[in-house]
Amino acid sequence: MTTLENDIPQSSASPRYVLGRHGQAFSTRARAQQIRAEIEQLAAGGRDVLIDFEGVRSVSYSFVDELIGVFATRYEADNDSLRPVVIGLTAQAQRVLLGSLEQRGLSDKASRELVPH
Amino acid sequence: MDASDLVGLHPLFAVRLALWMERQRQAGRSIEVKEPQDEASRRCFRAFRLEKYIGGVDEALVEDDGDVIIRPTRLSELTQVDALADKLLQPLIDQFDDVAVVRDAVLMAISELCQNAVEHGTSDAGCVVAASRGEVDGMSQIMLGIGDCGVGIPEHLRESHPEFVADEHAIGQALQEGVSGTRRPDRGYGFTWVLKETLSSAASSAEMFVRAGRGAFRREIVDARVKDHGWNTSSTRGTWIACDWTTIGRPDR
Repeated sequence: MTTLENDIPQSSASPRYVLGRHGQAFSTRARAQQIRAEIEQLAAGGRDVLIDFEGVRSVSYSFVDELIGVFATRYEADNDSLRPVVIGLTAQAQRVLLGSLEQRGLSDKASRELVPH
Repeated sequence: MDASDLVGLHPLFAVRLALWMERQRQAGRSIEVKEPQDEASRRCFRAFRLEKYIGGVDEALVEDDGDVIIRPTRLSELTQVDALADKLLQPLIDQFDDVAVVRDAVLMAISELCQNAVEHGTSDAGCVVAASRGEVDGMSQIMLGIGDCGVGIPEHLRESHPEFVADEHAIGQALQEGVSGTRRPDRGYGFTWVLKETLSSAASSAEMFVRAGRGAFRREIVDARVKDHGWNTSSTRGTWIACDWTTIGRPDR
């Protein structure tokens, strides 16, 4: 089942994936892989995509690492690949996401570019 | 089964009991149950619905009991782990506000540890999880029990770490950052994140107990200090995990 949310803000040409429309809590790598595939489909070969965590109240390390960590690792290795910009994070989600990026050895510059904070 | 002397019923014990009773029924044995005489324990015993089948996520949450949060629930697919966490979040905030301050740690534990059990448990029993709240020394407590009947943490870990010979040592290593049986560098962080979220939470103390193979391991967290202790014990099949968080604060909604 396709559950894409192609909600493109007027101020930006980047497609936006609103994670909160699919639940409030996210747990597994399998769920992240499914959502990552949907985001790749939404981006349709474009460079940037906004991943909006507004409304998401709990995320696990595995979920965030598999969703954003994988995108981020690819982007740091190849700046022409999809760039996920993550917005709307709760303090918990930001803590976990920054932990994932740190564990993956991402530079502080890349972390700040992908997760404005 | 005589449970008449039972006082207190930890969710991990409920999980083990539910699986044992299921096996008896599958073997065609009828079970006569003597319920706990202690009123609170009897109410818990009934709310856990131990005499009936182990249900799925749709029946997981208990809405009419003050203490039982999740009755023994079978998670056979990873999608069910996500579904349980998503389903639990709002009731945890609305109905169990004295323990909701540790919800990030509780949900991290359900997410990471149930995911491990579903992925590596590999038995027909799947992963079975239960949770309840209680009080100790005037403070609120939330308790979680997770079990599976798979190969167990030590045997799984030895697939990539044959040097972890003693089971209690293997369990202790599984709780360390980046140690996994999968050989993948991005794995082996689940237990660590349960600890991190516990330390970030308003828990005044917490404890994790893990039993698998011939090993047992206890991690205690008091005043942000972590104390680990492992020991050798009698053999068990599967992996059995109990997590308890004690809170003193009110939730910041």
